[in-house]
Amino acid sequence: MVEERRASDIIANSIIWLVTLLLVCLCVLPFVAVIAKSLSSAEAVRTNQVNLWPIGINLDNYGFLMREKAFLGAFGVSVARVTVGVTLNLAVIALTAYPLSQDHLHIPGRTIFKVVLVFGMLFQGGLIPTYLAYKSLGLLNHFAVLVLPVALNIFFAILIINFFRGIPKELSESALMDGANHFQILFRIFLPLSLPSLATVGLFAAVTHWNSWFDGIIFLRFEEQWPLQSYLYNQVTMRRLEGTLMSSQFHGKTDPSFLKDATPEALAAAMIMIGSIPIMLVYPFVQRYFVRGLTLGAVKG
Amino acid sequence: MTNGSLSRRDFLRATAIATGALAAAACGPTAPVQEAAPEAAATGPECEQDWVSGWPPAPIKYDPVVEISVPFNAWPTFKPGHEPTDNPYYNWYLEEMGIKFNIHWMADGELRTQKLQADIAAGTMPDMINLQDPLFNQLIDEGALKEIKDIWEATASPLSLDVHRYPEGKNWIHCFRNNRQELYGLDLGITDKVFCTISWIRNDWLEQLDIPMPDSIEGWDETLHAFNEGGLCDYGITAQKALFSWAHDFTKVFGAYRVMPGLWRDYGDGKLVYDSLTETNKEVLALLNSWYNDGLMDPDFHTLDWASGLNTAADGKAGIVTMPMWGTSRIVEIEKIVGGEFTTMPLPKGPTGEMGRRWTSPVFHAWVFRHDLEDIKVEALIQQLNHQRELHVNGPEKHGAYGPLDDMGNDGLFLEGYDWEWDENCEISLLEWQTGTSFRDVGFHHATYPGYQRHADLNRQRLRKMDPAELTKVERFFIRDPGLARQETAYEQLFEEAEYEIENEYLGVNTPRMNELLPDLQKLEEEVYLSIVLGLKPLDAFDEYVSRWQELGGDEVAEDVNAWYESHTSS
Amino acid sequence: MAVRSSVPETAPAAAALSEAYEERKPPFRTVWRQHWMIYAMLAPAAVLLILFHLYPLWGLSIAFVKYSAFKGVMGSPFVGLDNFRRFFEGPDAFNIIRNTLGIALGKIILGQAAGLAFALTINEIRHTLFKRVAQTTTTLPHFLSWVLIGGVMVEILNRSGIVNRGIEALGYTSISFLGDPGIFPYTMILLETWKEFGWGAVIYLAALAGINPETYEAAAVDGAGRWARLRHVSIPGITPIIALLACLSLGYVLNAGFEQILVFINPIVFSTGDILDTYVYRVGLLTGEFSLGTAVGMFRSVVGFVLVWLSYWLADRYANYRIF
Repeated sequence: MVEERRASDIIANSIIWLVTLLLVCLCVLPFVAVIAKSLSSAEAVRTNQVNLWPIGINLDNYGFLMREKAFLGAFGVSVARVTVGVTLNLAVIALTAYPLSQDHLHIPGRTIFKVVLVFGMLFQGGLIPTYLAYKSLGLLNHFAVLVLPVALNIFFAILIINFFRGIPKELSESALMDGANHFQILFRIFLPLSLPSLATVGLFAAVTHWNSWFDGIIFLRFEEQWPLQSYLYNQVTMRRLEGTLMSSQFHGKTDPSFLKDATPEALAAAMIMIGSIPIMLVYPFVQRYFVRGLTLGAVKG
Repeated sequence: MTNGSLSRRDFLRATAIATGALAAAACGPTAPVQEAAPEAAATGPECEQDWVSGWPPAPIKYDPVVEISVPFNAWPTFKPGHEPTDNPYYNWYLEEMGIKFNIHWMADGELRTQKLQADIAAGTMPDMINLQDPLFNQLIDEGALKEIKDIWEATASPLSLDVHRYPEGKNWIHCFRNNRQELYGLDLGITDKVFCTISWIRNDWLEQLDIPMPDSIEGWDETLHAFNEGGLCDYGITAQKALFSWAHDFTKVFGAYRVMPGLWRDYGDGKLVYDSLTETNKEVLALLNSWYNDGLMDPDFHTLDWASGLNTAADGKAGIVTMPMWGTSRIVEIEKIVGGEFTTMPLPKGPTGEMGRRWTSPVFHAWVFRHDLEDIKVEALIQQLNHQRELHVNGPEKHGAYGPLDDMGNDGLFLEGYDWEWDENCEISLLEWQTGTSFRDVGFHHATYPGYQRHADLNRQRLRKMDPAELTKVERFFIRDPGLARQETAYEQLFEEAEYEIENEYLGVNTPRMNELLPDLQKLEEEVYLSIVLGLKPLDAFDEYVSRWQELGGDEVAEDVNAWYESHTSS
Repeated sequence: MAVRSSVPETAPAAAALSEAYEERKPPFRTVWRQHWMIYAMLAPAAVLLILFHLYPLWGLSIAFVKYSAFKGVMGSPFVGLDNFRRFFEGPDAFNIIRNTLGIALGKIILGQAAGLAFALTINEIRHTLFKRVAQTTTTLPHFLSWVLIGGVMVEILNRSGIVNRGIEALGYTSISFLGDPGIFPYTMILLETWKEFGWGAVIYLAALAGINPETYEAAAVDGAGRWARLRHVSIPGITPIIALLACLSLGYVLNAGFEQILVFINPIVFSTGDILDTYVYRVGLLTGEFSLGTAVGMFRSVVGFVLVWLSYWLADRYANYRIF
């Protein structure tokens, strides 16, 4: 009886492992294929031989990108966007979450504020009204258009409001009694207590900023102003790459060895890799914190 | 379709680009690349430049400087240290003519459309831009464009008026309003053959298989099969999602059957019919479907655009490559990559043995000016055009041996250390060729005129007859360059075959209801045609298409088109 | 949004409201003197809300006119509901709404099922390291943009891609995943599921982790096998969260995935792949039918808003969940 159980358990376990392994492969192999392609020789890429392992190691594609001013510029814009954007996000979120979590203070107007907040989160004006609004605000074609309109991330703000609610009101009440003001309470009590949650939200915001591309394409007029993902949309998805590569190769005549081994497909692969690496470095942490934050929230109720 | 027929979507994008990006990206480097010998630069100082660099003097210099905002193309690759707004061209206009071009935005293709539409929505149009119908009409109706008849006639040089066939050329018909009393746009570019394609075939494969150059559509069919079955290539012919386009398209195949989808034609009864509906198209679609089924095209061609077609060729997967007319340089590049040899193909004969037909470029573009633009800015732009025409038409003969011995893309300043350098024999060796091509479409820098492509060739032919000793080094360079020689042959054939062109006979202004109906009709056509080629729909779907076209308002469109045609032919 | 436990409690907002009735409201001047900093803290959010969430709504008026930027909204002829009528009576409306609903529903159903199944599967794994690795790798696609995923997947799914080479090697004919109108929507649903199943599992796993281990032990002592434990402990333990997510998913039935479709769509699959969002982009911005595009966008916003609101109401009523 016991042995039977054990045998069926082993079978069940193997099936579970196998299925999981399969799903893991399904998620990882596409990226392995991309890495392989980005590192393969032009000949192998052209003749479609590359599967999961690079054929004839070739670094020209990465070399090309390291020399491509537009690519590096876009990377820089993305970094700036994430830095400025996330700082703004966190500042606004902390400032907004504190007042809205202090229900016991009965501040007049907070309910209407929350209603408008939720409305703002759920109702969007749409593409053209938004464009016209940004235009009349003078935001078009400025870096600010990437960070200001999304500075108030309502979704994350609500997350933090709910977290702040879990902080016992006695803490802030006694601090008020002791003569502390609200800013001091926020910075000395609430922020230190909620650092992990804020870090989670910050990382999420960073991923969101890194991944956004549509706003760049619509609201910024020059390619040099675009963040990396917008640049990649134009180069990879819209297939401008072939032209870029061909003209660059053509224009690079002064250096006869100039990256003759770069091909559009492999170059796209290299771009995709470089665009993904920051995410790959960060997301395991985001995920861990997220789960932790989630559990905390659930316990606090 | 109608105007739109000339401006089907991809084509539209192309036109947007053709003034600049693509045309120049590809037509800039017309000469084959020569491996530059790095040590040669050292010998530079001792060589003597026996021609004058630069351009003819400016017709006028504005003081104070006139600032004009125009869209730039998104392909700027300048020499390190140079920017779109700081390079020999930009600075020439600034210093010699007193024109300062400001970048309104930088985009091409779909992005260009998007930027332009966003500008129109927000009322932030550039000072001047190249537009196609139906936008052109719509903006005139809304009062967004400037009426420029008087300024144009007063400022344009006799040469400019002449080469652009003003006011009688049919390219002007749609620019006029009110019985030719008002002029809202300048249709200067793209009018002539820019969109004609040249098909190139792998000559080495023909020799290897010992088959003659195919000159009929059956020949194409047999040759493609032979290439494919002989294991020479994965596919056979380059293709992209637009069946009628300026690269990797099938207009020649349709033309062999004497139909030209997308155009309005008069079959002799004084009425215009939309040729996409003609029954004969079924035969062509059946043929293309068989090519697709036999694996002669990239199985994903309908998801790819022109650039991927280029890739197919560069990967050696195709034996017949249909390139834009200005694509010779790309063919040379591709030859180097795949190690083969391409030759131009003659226009194929049809199944009846009669000569096939060819498509021509549309005329529905115009450079337009914003309604509130100061007169002086319009004037300055027209002066730029005058200068360009003088340079291009009279350059080599009147202004010394500089200027365009090559076609438009390179009507450059031809600067040492930028475009060329000395080789060890003190002859010219090409460098990067980026000055002209990167600045190509700013203002009227890249506006074309009918027949301009032949101009450089005719100049070279003139020079060849002269005593080589009398020629300057730059002239000698241009006549000995093998890449240019190949382009010359290709152009010659292209212009010889001009008699087989089918032209769109609808040149009118779209009515509002046409503008409303055409996008859907166009979408329908695109989908049905592609689906049949791909075998997703049976051939009978064509008949359904014809009736659906009528249901969706095609008859009303035909009515409006014919109303115009009647009034046009009677006057 | 924090997920609340199923322990019944008074919702703070409601509590605040009832307290407000009980207590005498202090005069505003007193509140201001004591708590002006609270308002100061809310000021940035208020400004951002007004500028970027409320002010753009003014532009919706474009939907009711025949808009010309040169005449302005006020100067453009008023056409009432003509733009809406034009869309609904036009040839595209049916297809587009069908595609939107079909693709979105497919994504919701398959996505939730896949996430749940995956969570239950790896919940059975005792090996901590493998479990963590599996969880981490499967959430990777969630964090990458559709631009990147598109770049990866187009290469893999096209006719000469690795998947089709495999299919051909097995002796079948290749499949045009992205270029066949009959297949395209399913490809979109599958890709979305692929991208999100790992992430979807995270929330279920958190809930599973919340189940008291003693319940499992008790079940084991009672002789419950693995399957029985799954059925009688695990699934009941996460039923509230399943119910909650089911309620909330109602809010997503118009979300067919703009960025994904925009990255993958091509003319041949318009008939089955074009959704409201891509239509608005194409008609509104590429074709320049600003009023039509705004009208359709507004229709989508309003219906979407109602649906999300409804989903919150359902979640509040049946799953004891509030966003505040």
